[in-house]
Amino acid sequence: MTACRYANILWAARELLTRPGVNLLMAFSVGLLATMITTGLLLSQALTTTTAHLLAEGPDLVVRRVTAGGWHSIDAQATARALTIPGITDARPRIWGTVRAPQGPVTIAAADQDAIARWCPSEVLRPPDQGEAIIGRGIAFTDDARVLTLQGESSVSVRVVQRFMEETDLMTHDLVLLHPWDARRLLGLAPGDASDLALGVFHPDEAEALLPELAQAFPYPVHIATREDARKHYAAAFGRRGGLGLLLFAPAIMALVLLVAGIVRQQIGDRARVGLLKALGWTSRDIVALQVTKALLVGLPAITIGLTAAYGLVYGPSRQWIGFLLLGWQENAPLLHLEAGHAAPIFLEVTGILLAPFLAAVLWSSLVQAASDPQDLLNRGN
Amino acid sequence: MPAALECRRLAYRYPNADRTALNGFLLQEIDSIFPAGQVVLISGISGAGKSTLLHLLAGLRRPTRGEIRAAGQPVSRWVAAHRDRWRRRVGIIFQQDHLVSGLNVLENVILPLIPRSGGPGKWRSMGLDILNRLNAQQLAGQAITALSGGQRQRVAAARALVDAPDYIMADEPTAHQDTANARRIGRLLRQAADRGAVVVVAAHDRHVEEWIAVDQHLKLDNGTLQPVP
Repeated sequence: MTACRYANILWAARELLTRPGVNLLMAFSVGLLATMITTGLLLSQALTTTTAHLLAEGPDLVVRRVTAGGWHSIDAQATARALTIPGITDARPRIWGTVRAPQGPVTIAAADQDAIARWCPSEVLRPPDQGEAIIGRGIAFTDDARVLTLQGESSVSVRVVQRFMEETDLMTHDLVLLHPWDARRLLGLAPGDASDLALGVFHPDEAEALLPELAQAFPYPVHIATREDARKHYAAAFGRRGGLGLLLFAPAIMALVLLVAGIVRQQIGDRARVGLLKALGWTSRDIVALQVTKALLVGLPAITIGLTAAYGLVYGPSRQWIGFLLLGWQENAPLLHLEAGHAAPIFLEVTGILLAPFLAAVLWSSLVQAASDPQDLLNRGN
Repeated sequence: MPAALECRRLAYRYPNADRTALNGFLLQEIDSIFPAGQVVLISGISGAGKSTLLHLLAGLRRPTRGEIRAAGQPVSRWVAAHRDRWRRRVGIIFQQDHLVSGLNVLENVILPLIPRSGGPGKWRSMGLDILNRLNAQQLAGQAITALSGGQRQRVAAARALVDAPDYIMADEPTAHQDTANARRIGRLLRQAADRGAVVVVAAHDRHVEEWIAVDQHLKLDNGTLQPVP
């Protein structure tokens, strides 16, 4: 870039300072718009990615025993029964459920090396002994003795020995990992019984074909959930609340229209100045370049700040209240997963969505004025 | 050396003009040559069309009929983009100074330089130089709103002359000036003509010839230009 170009950018900045209030307001409006639009898109993207990650970690099929009264524990022979079905490669009884903690309901799970490997892949954790617990970051305990009292079928107090790492927060946020003996006591499970049965299949895409045969392998009624069922469940849950998020776009689009109208009106109000510049030897190209530079000087930092704010809202500590506002999360919000390959197009999209009409408004009004005779502009401007 | 500016059968009528007198034409059938290296004074009563003629000569308006030629080229007929470039060679002092109130004096003076070559250092030096020659260097950092009418007119003159233009149109350049400052402006316009510029001054004040050494005096009356002996 030549020194002359730098000088022209400096001059554009100087011109902006002649109306600091108006230009600050414009920057604030653009930044706010960027935040509103990006937050919605980023949150939707984050939830989709997060759900996909969660499901990829989960089993292909989950078998639950059901009775007229609802959920029932699954017996010790269930594993062997499931493995008799061709195509089932892995069967893992799981002990888990929800119990009450002082701050509200939490999920408990019995710890084994397999569970730890799933929830803490990058960390070596010692499975908790009887009377010990590893807890997620969304669970609070207040006393100095680090004791957490849980209330299920019976009351169990455990000593918190460790917390899960932050990067596992997606999966472990409200999780309490216990010794199987403590977990069984809380859930009222007999020795050998489990909450459900997680199955792995040889061809995950054909898991649904195994369902009739699998259901017949058990001497009691079972409910079998596939990974696709889980995906639909999450999609429906997020979709209901996500609809509210879409409402953000209506005022955002209205604001964008008003912003563009404001720019055009401001430019038309500047006719006298454009006429003067032309009279002083500025070419139409010079004037358009000045106006575009001014627009970029206002728009680019504003959009950058808006995108950063949206990122902070979705992935930072403030995700708590944005999650509450848009998704109805009542408890502490988990850390969402960010993939640069997905977020970057959103940032580019929003930059384009905002900059295109912003620059078009500036360009159009500048070109219309630049084509007029200077004295006409001076007269009409006055 | 810039070539002369020439009017050929130049006529101008405002789009919404009352057509009862002269069929609405403010200027009609003007054939005049404004030679390079000369100061031409155009006088006339208020409303005679002096400012309009200057605006036409400066390329700020297009004539209704006829044409304006510079160096033999019909600049008034050129498309906007070419006229824009040609206007870079023109410096104009408006009757109403048209200063930008959000900028200070020096920034107003250097406005014509911004899109051209150079940078802030060169612009500042050129701006201070012309302000100095107009005895207005002490005003450089002041806000436009703090200036008197005479000071504003000198700033407008500095802005018109800062880039040593080839064609200078000055509309009442010595209005609101005391004798010393009027002479300064007159001297600068004379110097511009002496280096070869075409200088056209419009004034209705008969004293202007005392302050500006004029080569040719024309009177605008009933839409036509007549030499004043």
